Amino acid sequence: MAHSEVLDDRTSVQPGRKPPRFGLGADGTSSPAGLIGKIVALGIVAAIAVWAAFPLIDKKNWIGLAILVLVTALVFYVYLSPRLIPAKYLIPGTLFLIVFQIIPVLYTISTAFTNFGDAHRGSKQDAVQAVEGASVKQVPGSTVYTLSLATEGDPASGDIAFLLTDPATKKAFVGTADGLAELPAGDVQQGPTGKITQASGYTILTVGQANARTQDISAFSVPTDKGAIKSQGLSRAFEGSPQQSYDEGCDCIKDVATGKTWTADNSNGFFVNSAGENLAQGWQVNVGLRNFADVLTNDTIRSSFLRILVWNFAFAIGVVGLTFALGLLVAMVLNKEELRGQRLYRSLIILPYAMPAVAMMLVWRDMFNTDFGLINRLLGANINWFGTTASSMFAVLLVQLWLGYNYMFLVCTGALQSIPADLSEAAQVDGAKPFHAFRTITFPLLLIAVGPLLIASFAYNFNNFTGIFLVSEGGPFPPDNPQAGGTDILITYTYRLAFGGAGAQYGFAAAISIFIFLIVAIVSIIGFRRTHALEEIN
Amino acid sequence: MNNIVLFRNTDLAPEAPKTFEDMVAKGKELKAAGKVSEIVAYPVGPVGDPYYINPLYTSGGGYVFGTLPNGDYNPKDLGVGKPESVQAYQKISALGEKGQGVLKRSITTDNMFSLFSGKKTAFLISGPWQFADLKKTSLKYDVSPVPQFAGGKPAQPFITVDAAYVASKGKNKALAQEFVTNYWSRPEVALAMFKVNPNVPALKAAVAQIKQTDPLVGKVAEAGTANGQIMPSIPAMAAVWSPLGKAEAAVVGGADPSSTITAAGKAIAAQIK
Repeated sequence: MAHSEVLDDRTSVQPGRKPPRFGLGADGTSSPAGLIGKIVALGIVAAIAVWAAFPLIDKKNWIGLAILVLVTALVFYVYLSPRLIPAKYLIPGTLFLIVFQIIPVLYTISTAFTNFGDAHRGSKQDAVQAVEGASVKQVPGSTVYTLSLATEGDPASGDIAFLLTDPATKKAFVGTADGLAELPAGDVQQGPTGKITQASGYTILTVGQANARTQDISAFSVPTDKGAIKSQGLSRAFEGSPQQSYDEGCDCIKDVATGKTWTADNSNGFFVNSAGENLAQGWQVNVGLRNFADVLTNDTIRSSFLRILVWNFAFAIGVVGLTFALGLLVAMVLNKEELRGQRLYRSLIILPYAMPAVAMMLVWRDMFNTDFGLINRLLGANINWFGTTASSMFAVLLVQLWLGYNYMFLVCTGALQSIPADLSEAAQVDGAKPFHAFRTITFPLLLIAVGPLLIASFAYNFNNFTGIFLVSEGGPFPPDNPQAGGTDILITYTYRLAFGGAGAQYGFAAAISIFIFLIVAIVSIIGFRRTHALEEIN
Repeated sequence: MNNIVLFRNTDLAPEAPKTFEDMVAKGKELKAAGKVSEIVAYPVGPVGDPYYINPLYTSGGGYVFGTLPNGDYNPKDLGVGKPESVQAYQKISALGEKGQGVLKRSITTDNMFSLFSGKKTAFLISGPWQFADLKKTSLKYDVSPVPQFAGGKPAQPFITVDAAYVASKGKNKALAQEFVTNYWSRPEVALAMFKVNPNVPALKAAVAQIKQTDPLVGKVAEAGTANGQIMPSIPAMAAVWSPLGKAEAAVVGGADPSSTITAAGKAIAAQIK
């Protein structure tokens, strides 16, 4: 073998040609269409990188910017290099995997350790501001001024000043950070309602200029001896004082009028008083393993958890089994070349697949309506489909069968046609009965091709939220436990627990999601190991 | 402003019923004559709906939350599970599927309108959001308050009002606040909004003006102001909807009102804490 013909880089360059260099055609792409496609794709990557860079720089997010530059550089390097052929195939899939799978999973895990949810959405600073802001009351007996927003000097950067008019006396005042001062009548021009239209030494802001300074205007207040004057919109200002204010020394909120205090409970993210009641505004805190412990120890959850888990497995296995069985049956029936109208049958079977599943599920739900539904009318029966658990389970499985068997039909048709015909012919010659031939030859070969899809279908149906929620809403609910229904699966149960009663609890939902993820991941790993074993048959 | 009223097909039922029993009797009469197939389109649904059942619940003597002297709702005074609530639900159970068959779980908010517009029933319990759809049909209809039980308390539907919240972290907060405080409360704005979305404006001046061309809007407003109950929007109310709804569906389906409502009360109280 001529060693000079074996080159150390992996491109297939014939001896005698120029060695490949870094560039568009460096990996052997020589067709014009391929090169143009590469240019367009790399151009889009570069455009996205430039577009994403500006907000990152704006927010001074240097880590994000560094990641963006690195990823773009990596993509360009891989696709312009003569080597790294496997990387060219793996990079898009890996990038999407990281962005759409790994990062959301990591984010969910980190959320599960906090109490993120309603009343715990922001930081402690936000909570304090919300408490103080919500407690501002107008100082009794004070006037509500007509306001003209102005700046001392440049509208974009000058200090804010409030030009105020007392609507009763039409007297003009100016409010600055130093306090309230009277404006001599000669210095101002006022409109018919008393609103100040011009004042010497101040630039009155137009609506656009005022909107550009929104942050400064909401933060600005004119100190008075009883409180402060704040703006309410663009044309009104009132003198108010916060009834509750934060005291750093004791880390608590003090109520001015009654003297009550609410101390910060940093492990729960609430301000609590001595009676155990808390203020509505809280903040997000890290709660460690509390969400996970809740799932395992809370009585209401535990009592139904096992039943729901069992039905969840039964539902997923049932849907996969039923759709696969019916899809395979139909595929085998329609696999005969001589069958007339084959194309017509295939189109009719695939039709439900083309319709939006959500709309179809709602239609099926209405078909199961006891008094007005199509099914009861056709059968002449009066079955309360969603009144009992058994009939609800039947209804839900029937809908999933209708929605899913055509996918299995397509997949099985393809897999059946890829099995060489001489294998079954040889079996026939050997005298095997048709079912025996199917069971020992066709079916194992079929499973190798279809196995991963069955596992994927199981994982999908394990978390088939819409399939349960839109059709039966979780099924009949026993009056003593309105949270856990007869056809509830883990994810619908989680949804109701986390978002139903006491507002949204994302941290808790994230913890249950991780449990579900672990269950599905373990089953999938076991399943994939088994399909590997099947490949040894071939 | 939204509340629940009784829509009545005036071709089939020319007079407004004074009590709920009158309405049921009229409905049964029409059904026996073959003119309608349902007595009333009162939405219940498989998981119930406390919002729609509240007029009957309050007419039967029940309440959801008690009130404090200053008018606020008191989350510590839960009415579900108390004897009055059980009595109210006993009356509702008598109208349910195992009783007179007036209330059915198969009538939902999705199919109630088509029952009324398809003339399968002469009575519809719904709100002013139906005006837009009703204008598209050729039905002759009238509006009256939800009738109370004979000898019972007045039927009090929940009143809700649409409001605007200014986001505390909004980019254009000053402008938004200016719009909400100085512009949205003007009658011209309310009238312009009415043209697009024929609901009942909360502004009295606007209602007074609209009443002259659209008397039914005035009737809905009057029904609300006469007997309405502001819907509790305290945080504890969020824990009421699901358990009470499912209990209502169970009672309409024939379950024992006493045990069902008491259990629902316990479930709600546990969630409120």
